[in-house]
Amino acid sequence: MTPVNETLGQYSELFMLLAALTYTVSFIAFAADLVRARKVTTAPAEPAQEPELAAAGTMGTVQWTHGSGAGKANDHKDAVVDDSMGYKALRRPAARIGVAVGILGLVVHAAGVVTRGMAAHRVPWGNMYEFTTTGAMLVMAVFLTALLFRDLRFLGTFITGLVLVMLMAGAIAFPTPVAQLIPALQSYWLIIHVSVAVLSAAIFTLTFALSVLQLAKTRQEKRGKPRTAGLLRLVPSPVSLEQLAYRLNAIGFILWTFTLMAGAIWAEAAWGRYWGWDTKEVWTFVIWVVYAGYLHARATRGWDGTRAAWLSIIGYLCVIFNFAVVNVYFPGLHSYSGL
Amino acid sequence: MTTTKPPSGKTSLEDVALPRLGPAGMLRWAWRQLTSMKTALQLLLLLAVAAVPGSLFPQRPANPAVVTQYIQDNPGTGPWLDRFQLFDVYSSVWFSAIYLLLFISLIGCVIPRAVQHWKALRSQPPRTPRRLSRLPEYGTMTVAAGTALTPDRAIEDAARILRQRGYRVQLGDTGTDLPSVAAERGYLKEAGNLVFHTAMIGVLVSIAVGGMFGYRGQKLIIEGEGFTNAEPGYDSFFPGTSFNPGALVPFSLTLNNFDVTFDRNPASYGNPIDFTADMTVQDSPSDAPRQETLRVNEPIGFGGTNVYLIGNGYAPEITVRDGEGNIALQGPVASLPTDATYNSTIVIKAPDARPDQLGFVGFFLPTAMVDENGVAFGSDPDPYNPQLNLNSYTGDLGLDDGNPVSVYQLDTTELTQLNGRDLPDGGIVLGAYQTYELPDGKGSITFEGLKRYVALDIVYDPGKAGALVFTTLALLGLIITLTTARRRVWIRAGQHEDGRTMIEYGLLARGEDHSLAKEAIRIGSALTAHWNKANDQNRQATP
Amino acid sequence: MKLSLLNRRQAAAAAVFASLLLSGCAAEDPLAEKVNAGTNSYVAGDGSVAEYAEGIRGETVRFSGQLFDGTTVTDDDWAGKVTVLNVWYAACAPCRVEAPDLSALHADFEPQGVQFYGINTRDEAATASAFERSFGIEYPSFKDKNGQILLALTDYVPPQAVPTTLVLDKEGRVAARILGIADKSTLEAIIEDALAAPDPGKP
Repeated sequence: MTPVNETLGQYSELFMLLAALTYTVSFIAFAADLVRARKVTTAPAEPAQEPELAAAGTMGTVQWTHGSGAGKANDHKDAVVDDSMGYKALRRPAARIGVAVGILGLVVHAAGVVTRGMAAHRVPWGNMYEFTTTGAMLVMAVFLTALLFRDLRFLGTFITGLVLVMLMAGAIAFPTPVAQLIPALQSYWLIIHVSVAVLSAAIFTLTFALSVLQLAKTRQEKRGKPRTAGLLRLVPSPVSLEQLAYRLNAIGFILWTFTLMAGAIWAEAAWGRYWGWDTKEVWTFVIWVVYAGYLHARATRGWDGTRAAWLSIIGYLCVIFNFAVVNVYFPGLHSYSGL
Repeated sequence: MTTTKPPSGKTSLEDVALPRLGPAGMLRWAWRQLTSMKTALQLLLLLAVAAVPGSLFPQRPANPAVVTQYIQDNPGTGPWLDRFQLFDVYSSVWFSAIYLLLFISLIGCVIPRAVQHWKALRSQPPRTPRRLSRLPEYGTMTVAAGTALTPDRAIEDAARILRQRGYRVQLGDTGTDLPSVAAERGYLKEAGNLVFHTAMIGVLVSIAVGGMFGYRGQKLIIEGEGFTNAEPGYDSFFPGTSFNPGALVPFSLTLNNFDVTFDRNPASYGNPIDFTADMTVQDSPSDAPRQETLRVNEPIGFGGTNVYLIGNGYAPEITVRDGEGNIALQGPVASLPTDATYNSTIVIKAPDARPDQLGFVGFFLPTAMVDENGVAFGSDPDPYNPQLNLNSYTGDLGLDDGNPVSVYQLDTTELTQLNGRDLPDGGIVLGAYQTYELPDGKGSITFEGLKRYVALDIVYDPGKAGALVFTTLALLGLIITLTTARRRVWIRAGQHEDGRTMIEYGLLARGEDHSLAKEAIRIGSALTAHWNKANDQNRQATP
Repeated sequence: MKLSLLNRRQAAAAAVFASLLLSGCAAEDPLAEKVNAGTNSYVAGDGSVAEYAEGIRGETVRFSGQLFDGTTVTDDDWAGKVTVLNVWYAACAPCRVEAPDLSALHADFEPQGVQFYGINTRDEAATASAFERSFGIEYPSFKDKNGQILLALTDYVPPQAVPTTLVLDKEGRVAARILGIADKSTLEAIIEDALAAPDPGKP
């Protein structure tokens, strides 16, 4: 076996530190964006691009008009965002800086993760430090990817903040030198099972944030406050948050199901049984059932909306528990956190 | 099931009021309650909650010794927890009740829906509703007068475009002034949903098959020794409820050599990085022996029965001579590692020592060091300075009354202690190749050599393949159902008095669908583009 | 014909569907050191006796093996004789209980041509002879630490526990199997039955 490359390992730690500093800048920029948006007044003119306007109209000999039957009643004149998460023309220089610096941070972060893997000659997810740093990278990557499809910059503060916390937790709570894997982890299933698990956890992170904001926004509306008020001004309506959370949770659930399957196949190869109710298996199962419950709740009257959001939040709390508490404090077959 | 909400108003009344019906009616009511979406959801969430205690309390199937210890340590709460089966959560009455109810509810839900879907697959999309403008997505088109587009033509075009987009189409009201087309797509959404839920039942059945006809056994093999797959050869054996001894594949194996490599990098010193067991195996007594390498994560298979490397340790070779000078015990004795440095506990029993039986309890240290207090400790997992630290006992070892006792335990309460730290003769400290003479001429013990052993799990699970097939089906079904949208489209055309052709369309989603508006725009664009093009061509053809 | 298989396992097979599911879900965890620390280190029998009537006896038991003293014994050595095979090892508690009875029965029946062989599944020679000294065992034992003889026996009537005692009739077929501690009078009766049967070679 090739010995570990300690010099590369040191570079990796340096990259992680630089990434954390970069993310700090991004965090401050996103926070400034939220604060600034409280006071900004929207120009009453140009409403945002509406799909029907883009598509309909008189073209040649055919005249076409299209209208979504769903009510557009929520279009307050002061609101900056509509129900399909379309934003009105608004200058948000701070958010632009946040995204740009965030991308830079992700590049540096990725360099840190890759050098860590190269230093150990294996995938960089074999102990708690590596789960945390690689997981943080995926959270950031999923967030930036989602920005390509939706303007979710209102989540920037939360995401960069969380990624910072994860990087710090990795460095302070779980510092682990670069090392070779113990025999139990020497399997290609490590690459498949753990990477998909971390990816789905990253997606659940995003939906957690959306669900929390959905609850906050619902509460704000119930209290009768104008939806334009406060730090939540940039946050879209509960309905649109819920819809996006559902779509992401559906993807997360598929990936989590795969995690469970791949884990079972690996467990069969390693221990001779595909399911044995080991602590980690129990919690992976609990998470799966909670998100399955979430998907069912969305289709059950009286359970959609706020209750479903709570399930999404509980599911994520279980993910955190499974990762931070079960890995470290619970005895079981998965006790190779490297601590 | 993750699809449409039931038609509104229908179930809510039944939910509230208990109908005054006879026993049959009550049963029907209970069945409808059980198979309702709300009950299924509640059972699902209950299942998640019920699974949690199994991670908080030690579980008997995984760790019976720890459970016994837990009950001893908590005499107040322990027996109560046991009464509520909290040490056997996953086979407890309440946990089973939840998942069995859930599966009954699931079956009660899947069967009628499968029938319904089968019918839907063979029927045509429903007729065009009278008022399309009430649908969530609605639009109109007006084609200028003077083009060749008649309402019938328009509907034919629309049907063709919808068919190209994957819709199943049905022309309606043909021959009237207002012909229309009804279209539906995304039948796979419900199919995927049904496959997922049916596969869940398949997974449960596969698990049951494994539990009935399979077996699992443990065997510890010392270097140079072998094993054949027959029940008495096992250290412990757990047959399934309907296990047939004929299922034992007649393989045999011999452990030639077991190699362990430890990490010598200063930062991670002493971590194991490789376990390799060199085996000679035979599929059956008549087959030729062959060489195999057994590693963690790489089991050896014998026609459905797999052998797994689960643990390993040291087996010091011991000779015990008794008070009469005869050898009472000779051979390797397995020690149980207690930590990553392979500091191990060891129990040696010589029940045939005469005049008195001899027993030894203590530690084996692969690399012994002595700290400032004179206490020995192990400093390395490799055997650089192997040492046995033992107390010795004499008396009835408890093997002669016929009750099976663990070879790794010795009850010393009824025994007379000969050696120990607090006794005048002190404890026994044996380095390699050393012999210790026991006090009072009771005999001697010699540390003759050292071997490694492997702990194997040997498992036959006939439900394994089924579980894999059904979970794969479940995943495929899940992907299909969550990524497909089921939609209906209706388009109607008519002629205005002034000669313009009017077209209206409406879309309806069945189940969760966030891109219905996009689909409406796409269909609208396709139709507009098509008719514009057609009209242009017509105009050029007839100037 | 007397066929009494008092098998707990088969009784358990009558369990209801639900409990089958349970046992499937409650698969035990493997860490061998943990399991070994908590459970018995061998499969113990329950003393159940299975006798096979003339008509349903299987084939002649055929195997060869080495005794502790190095002698090779084959099935030719029990042709025409009643043979008792006893699976044992020194630290097996039930084996220690039945050993004095086996020793006494051996002394009683040896003059009538009954052969006894032990099949030792775990011990080195010195440990085995210490056991034989303790209980005055006069008959020899096969050294079967690698289990080859056990495996050969699975073709006939598998020993499913330690101790297991098999009685072979004069044709070398299994006439009876006792799982667990052999009751002295039961074993005695089985041997006498086997002796009473006419010799295969003679009319």
